[in-house]
Amino acid sequence: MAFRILCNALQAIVALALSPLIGGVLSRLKEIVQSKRGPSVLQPYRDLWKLFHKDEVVSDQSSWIFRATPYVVFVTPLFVVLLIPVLTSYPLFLAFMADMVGAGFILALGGFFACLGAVDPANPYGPMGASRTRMVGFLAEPVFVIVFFTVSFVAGSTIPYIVQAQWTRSAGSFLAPAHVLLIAAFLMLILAEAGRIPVDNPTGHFELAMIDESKGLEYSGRGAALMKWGGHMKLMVLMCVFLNVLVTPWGLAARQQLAAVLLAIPLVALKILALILVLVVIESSLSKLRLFRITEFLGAAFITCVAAMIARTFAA
Amino acid sequence: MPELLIAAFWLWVAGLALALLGATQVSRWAIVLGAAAGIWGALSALPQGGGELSLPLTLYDQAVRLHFSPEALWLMAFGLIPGALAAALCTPLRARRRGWLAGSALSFLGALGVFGLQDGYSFLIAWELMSLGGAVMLLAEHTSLETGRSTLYMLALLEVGAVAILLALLLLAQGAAGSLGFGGFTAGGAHLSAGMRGFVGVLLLVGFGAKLGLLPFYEWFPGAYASGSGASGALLSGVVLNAAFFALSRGLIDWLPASAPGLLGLGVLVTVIGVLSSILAVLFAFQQDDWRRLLSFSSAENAAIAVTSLGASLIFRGDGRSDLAGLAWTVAILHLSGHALAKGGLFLAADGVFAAGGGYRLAQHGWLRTTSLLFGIGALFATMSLAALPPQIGFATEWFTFQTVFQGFHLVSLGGRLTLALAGAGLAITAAVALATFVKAFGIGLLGDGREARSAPIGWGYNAAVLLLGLAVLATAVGLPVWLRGLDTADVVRFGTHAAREMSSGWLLVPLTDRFAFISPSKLVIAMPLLAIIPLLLLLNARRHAVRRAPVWYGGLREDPQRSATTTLTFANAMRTFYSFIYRPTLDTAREHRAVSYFIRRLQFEHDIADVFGPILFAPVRRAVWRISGRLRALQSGDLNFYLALLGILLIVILALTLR
Repeated sequence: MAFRILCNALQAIVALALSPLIGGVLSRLKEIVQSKRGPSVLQPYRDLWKLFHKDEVVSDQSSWIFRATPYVVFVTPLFVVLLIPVLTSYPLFLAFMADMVGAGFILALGGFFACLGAVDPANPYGPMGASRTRMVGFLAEPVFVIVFFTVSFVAGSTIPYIVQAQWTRSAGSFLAPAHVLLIAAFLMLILAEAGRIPVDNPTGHFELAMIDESKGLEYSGRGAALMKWGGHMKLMVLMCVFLNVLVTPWGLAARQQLAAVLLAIPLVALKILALILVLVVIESSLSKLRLFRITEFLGAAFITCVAAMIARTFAA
Repeated sequence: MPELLIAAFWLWVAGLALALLGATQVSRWAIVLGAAAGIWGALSALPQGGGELSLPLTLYDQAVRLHFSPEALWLMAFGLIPGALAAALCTPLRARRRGWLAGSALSFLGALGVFGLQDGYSFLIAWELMSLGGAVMLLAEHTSLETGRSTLYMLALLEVGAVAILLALLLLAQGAAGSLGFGGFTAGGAHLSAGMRGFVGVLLLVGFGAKLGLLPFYEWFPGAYASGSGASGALLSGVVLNAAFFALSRGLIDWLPASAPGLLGLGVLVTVIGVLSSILAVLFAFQQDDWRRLLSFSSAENAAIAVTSLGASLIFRGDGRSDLAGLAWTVAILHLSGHALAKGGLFLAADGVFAAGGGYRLAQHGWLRTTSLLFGIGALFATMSLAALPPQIGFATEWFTFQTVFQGFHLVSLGGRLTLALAGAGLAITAAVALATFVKAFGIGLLGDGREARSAPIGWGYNAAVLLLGLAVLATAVGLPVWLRGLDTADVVRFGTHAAREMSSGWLLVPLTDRFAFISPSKLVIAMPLLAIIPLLLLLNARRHAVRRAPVWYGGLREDPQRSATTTLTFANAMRTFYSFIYRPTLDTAREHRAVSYFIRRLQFEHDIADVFGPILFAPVRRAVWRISGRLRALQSGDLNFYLALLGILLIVILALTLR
């Protein structure tokens, strides 16, 4: 038990430590593709350090919801890290609190508070971002659920540790149409949920075009630091679910040895780097969609996973 | 002590009489005591697996008997908790309390009858009493000019339902050798042909669905709820809605035989109606700009989710999976229980804002910043539950609902599998829009700029009631592995399985097996705050820096919080635009100019959305009724010769019939 608790702590530390690096590498690679030098991959860490050491200014019209929001936004993805396979292929001590559907609801809790935090300080841009986020969410969340629905059809479970074992059983199950369609739908979902191009431009600072970023405009100092760090961790959580549960459930520690778990860290980092490269290709070759075209993009993701579900239903 | 339910009955009768006599204070406390006795009586009878009581009343020379099954006691207890608090706080319209108390007593009495009565005659009386009680409450409060029309609309649609119920009861009685006692209805259902059984199922769905707000009946909800206060809403969305669901569940599960052919088809129909109703209701909830209207649509949505689970239960039963049928049925009961608590909390929160001078319109007045922390916590917990967010009860029941439809892969029938798969997609859309709806309700209704002058702070009574209901929502979720055992007897009697007991494993909630899925709200409540220590430690390590409060920066423009405040329309407009094929939004702008059109003196902007069923279903019926009544107006012409002619015709008809 002690070992599993230690591994749980290690997963949390890895998520805390590596998640800002994902943002840094992604930005740097995108800049290189655009023939620019770009900021250092360590820039997100510097930003966080700077924000933790700055004064905080809050709206005189905000309530305790505004102050509590950064903590919830920070804690929810960290909590999900404890539930999903990040480094090990076996469940850890704190994994028995929720399955993947439950984890989706926990991530939604962070999104809910982020929206309330945006509406609270009476800044007109915050509610605009919250409204747009919900518009994106109303199709993104069903995609989440249907992905898990289809997964439950295939694997007979929504527990991530059981699901990941399903794909490695045979090449047939890995290449099944339902699985391939699921992967495509989930990738589109990551782009939407993490606010990446073509749904949103995380580096854009034009208020009228913002979706996700405008929710955090009123945050400064440590509040802003926690919000940003929470955002980095959410992206990492989505990547880990995508890679370790759906696409490449290899490279995780299968044995209960510290060395095996430590070895999994660079292997998982490599998988994440590969996914970052895919994201760089997508973000460098597509432009941001206009607001009302986003629903078409998510509608396509929705139809893709419904198709996966129907394919699986008829195959069963 | 099930006898407490008899005490509740007499206390409500006394409350009704006292209200009619004008002794409002005594009447109010009699009704509250009645509700408290009802809660205690139901909870104490639950471990005994139900209760059998007899009222000192006779109907057709027969004593009126009450038999409460475990699920009836469960749903009644959860419905009465917000009902008791609503009665204690009473309507915020002081001058209208007399009529409201009479209406609430009637509603409680009707609901008690619906939960417990065991024959068709007395059941229909109780059903009508419950509808009448709601109408009396709304008419007494009369909060808008549209009250009369909205209440009539409600009663008209409820009467359509009542006729359907009457017809269903008569058909079942026909199969039960003419007896209207519910004890013979199961055998009565078995004697009917497959087609007739399906027809009875549809009649029950229409009859009870009229009160539950299934399509197309949900359209009476916003107008009727907006005619009264939040206290009325707490009763209608609590004990009344639970009673209606109990009646539907009893009709479909108990009266229609488990092994009958066609059950699967009926299950598919119930599921489809449930999913479509939930999607439409929540889409319209999102567009509302009034607390009561928004919450009323949300009640219809939650009732529809429970009906979807009921449909899934029928599908599983038709496919021979009693264990999964028990799971789906238990989930439906749980969903409405949690909903009653959370919805009661938000209805009373709306009353608190109204009583403090804020009105029922959703607008940013920063109530949370200026009111008690207790009110804020209670309202937040209730909102989280309705948005299905962890660790609240709404999260647990919504998760269970998803897990129930996920079990569709066990079905042999392809149609059943596909129905549940698509139901999952529909429920996911519902969940996503519900989340947006409650971000809007809480964000616009309680947050934002609070500089506008208000007449009074929110009263302590509302603070306490909202906090109590908010904490009840959390406590129900945390203790669910324990509370679930209360429904086990009902599952054994109905499905022959221990579904409720198998829905928990230690502190985990599981869909009958922990190999398929699990959650643990109990563990989440402990672990999530513990994890919050990490950011707190990070902040301790950072250098101490002051927190400065400052006005919001308006991009260099003059500060004008009132004009820049987010409205319900600005928040909902993105969805309204995208879903315009459902909403069919209308925008009217009228401008008054001075001499030159450039200088606008007055700008009038109106926006609205169109009902789906009103124009295509109810409006033609209404027009037909008007046309017929226009023709029949001749009967009231006052022309003596015309009346004499009618008498003459009548005499000829009588003569013809006699001589035949």
